[in-house]
Amino acid sequence: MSVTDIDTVPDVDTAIPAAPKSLWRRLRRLPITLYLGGALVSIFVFVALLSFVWTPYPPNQLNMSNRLAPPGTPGFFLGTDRGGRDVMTELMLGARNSLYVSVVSTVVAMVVGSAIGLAVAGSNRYFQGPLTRLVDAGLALPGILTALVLAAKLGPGNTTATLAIIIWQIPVAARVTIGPARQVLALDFVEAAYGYGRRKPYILVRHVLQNISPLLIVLGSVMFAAAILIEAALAFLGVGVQPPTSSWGRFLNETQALLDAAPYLMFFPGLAIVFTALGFNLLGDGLRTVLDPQQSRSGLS
Amino acid sequence: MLEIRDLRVHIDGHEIIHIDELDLPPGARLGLVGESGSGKTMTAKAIAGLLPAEAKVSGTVRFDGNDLLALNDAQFARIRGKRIGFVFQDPARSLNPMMRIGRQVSEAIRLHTDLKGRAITDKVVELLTQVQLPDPASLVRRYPHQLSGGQQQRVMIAAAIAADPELLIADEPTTALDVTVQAEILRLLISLSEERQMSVLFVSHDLGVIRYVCDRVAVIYGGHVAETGSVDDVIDRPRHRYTSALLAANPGMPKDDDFAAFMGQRLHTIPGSVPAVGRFPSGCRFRNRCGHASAACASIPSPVTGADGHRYSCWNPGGED
Repeated sequence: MSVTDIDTVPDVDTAIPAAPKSLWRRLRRLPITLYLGGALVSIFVFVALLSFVWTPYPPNQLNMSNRLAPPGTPGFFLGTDRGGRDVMTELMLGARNSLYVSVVSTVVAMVVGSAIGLAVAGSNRYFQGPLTRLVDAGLALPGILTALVLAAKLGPGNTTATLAIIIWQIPVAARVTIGPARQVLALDFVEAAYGYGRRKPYILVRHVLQNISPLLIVLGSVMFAAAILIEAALAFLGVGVQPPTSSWGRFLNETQALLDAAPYLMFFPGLAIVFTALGFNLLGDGLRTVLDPQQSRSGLS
Repeated sequence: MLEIRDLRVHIDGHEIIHIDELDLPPGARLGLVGESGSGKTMTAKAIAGLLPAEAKVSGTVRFDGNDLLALNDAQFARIRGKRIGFVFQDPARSLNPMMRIGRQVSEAIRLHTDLKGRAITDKVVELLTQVQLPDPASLVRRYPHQLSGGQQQRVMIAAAIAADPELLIADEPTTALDVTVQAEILRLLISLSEERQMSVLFVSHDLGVIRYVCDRVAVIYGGHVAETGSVDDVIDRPRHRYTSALLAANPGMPKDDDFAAFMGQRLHTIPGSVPAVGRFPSGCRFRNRCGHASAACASIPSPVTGADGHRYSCWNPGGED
C-alpha cells in the first residue's frame, strides 16, 4: 500500500478565512429594482402613516362651493371630487386603508400558508401526495367569488375584504412553500441534523424554514402587491370598505360617474394603485436577485 | 462496543444488505471497504438509524449491550449525536449554509447536555481547538462558505464529537477532499480516537486509507461481508477472491522510483461492474465476476474463521493463513 508516507505531508490547510466586504461596496452592487421598488414602497408606507397625524384637510370635509375643482386650484393641489373633498386627502386616507388590509392579510396568509406548506412537506410519503392535491384544490378557489359569498354572509367591509384575501392567499403561500421545503429536506445537512439527534419538527422549523426564508420574503412582497390590488378591486365592487372610510378602489368607482365632467379624476386613485403594486413587485424582484444564492456573489448573505 | 448480527436492509422487497456477523471492539477502529454500490455506506447508515423510512431494517445491532434496532425514533434520537457521532462524506453539503459554524457545532451540546449560554460557546471553542482549527473564537461567527473544504470537515468532526460519543461513524470523510488535506483529516481522526478511547467505524473505498486508519477491516460486496479480520491479515494475506481482486486493482507506488516500469505496467481490473439491486447471482454474490469461480460457488459459501478472527466466505480461497 502507498500510504506509509502520509505522516510526512505537512499541514497546509490552516489559512484564516477572509474578512467580509465593506457595507458600502455591498450596497452599491444591489440591483436597481430593489432601490426603485424600495422607494415606491417607502413613499406608500410613509404617506399611509402620515395620514394618521396630518392630512391637508380633515377626512370627509365636504366643500360644496369647490366641487370638482381642477388640479392646481389654490388650496387644492390635486383638485376636489364631486363632493368638494380634497383629492390629496382622499388618496392619503386610501393609502392608509390599503396598508391596513394588505398588512393584516399578507402576514396572516404567509404565516398560516407557510406553516401548512412546511407540514405537508414534512408529512410522510403516504400523506404527502393527497395533502398537496388538497392545497392545489384550495388554489383553484375563485378569489372574487369567495369575497362575494363572504360579503353575502358577513356584510361588506374591511373585515370581509381581509378575510377574503387571506382565504385566497393561504393556498398560494402553502403551495409555494411545499416544493422548496421538500428540496431542502433532501439536502445533506438535514441528514447531518438527524445525525446530531434532532427530529423532524425542529429540522422543519430551524433548518428548512431558514433556508427557504429568502423565497418567503420574495413571496411576501409579491403577495403584498396582490393584496393591494384585491383590496382595491373589492372596494371597487362595493364588497370592501364602506363609506365614509376612504379607499382607492371606492374612489375609482366614484370617478366612473364623472367620466364626462372630470375624466382626469380616475387617474389619481388608478395611478396610486398601479405605482404601489408596481413598487412591491419591483421590491420582490430586487430581493429575489439579492437573496438567490446562485447569484449573490455580492449580496446580503 | 458494537455487535452486528444478521443485519438486513430491504428496499422495495429487495434485500440490499445482509451482514451476518460483524463486531467492533471498544476503542478499536473498524474499516468498511468496498466498491461504489457495495452497500458500505448503507450499512453505516443502518447502524446509525439514518436510513429513509422506506428502508426496512431487521436483525440486531447491539451497542453497549442495547439493541439499537429495537428502539423507537425518539429513543434512537437520544443516542444519535450523544453516544454515536456521524461524520458525512461531503462537508460542504453537510453544513447548513445559512447557519453560523458555532451554532452547528453546538447542536449536539444543546440537545444532549445541560450546558447553557456562555458554557456552550466555551465548549464549542474548545472543540474547534481540538480539531486544530485556527482562531476558533472568531470562527464561531463564520458561515460555512467562508471555510475551505478541509476546515469544513474539521468543523463536521467537531460537531460529531461535541457530546463525547463512544462511537464515531465516518462515512468516506475524506473522499471529497484534496489528497494533502485528506492526510490531515485522517491523522486528526486517529488522534481523537486515541485520546478519547473512541471507537471508529470508518467507511472508505480506499484500502490504503483503511490500512492507515484502522485496526480491523471488513470487505463488503453486494451487501455481504466477504472477508473480515485484522488489517494486516486481510490486506497482506487475503483469502476471499474478491479481496485479492480489489487489492490487485490498486496500482500502488513505483518501486525504487522506477517510474518507467511503473507506468508501463498493466492495471488489473475486476471484470464487469457491481450488479444492480436484485441482479446478484445466487450463491456467492461475486461468482459472475470472479476468475476462480467453480460449480461449488452456486451455493452460498459458509464462513470460515481462522486465527485472530480472520473470517471469509469463499469456496475457493486464495493464499494461506
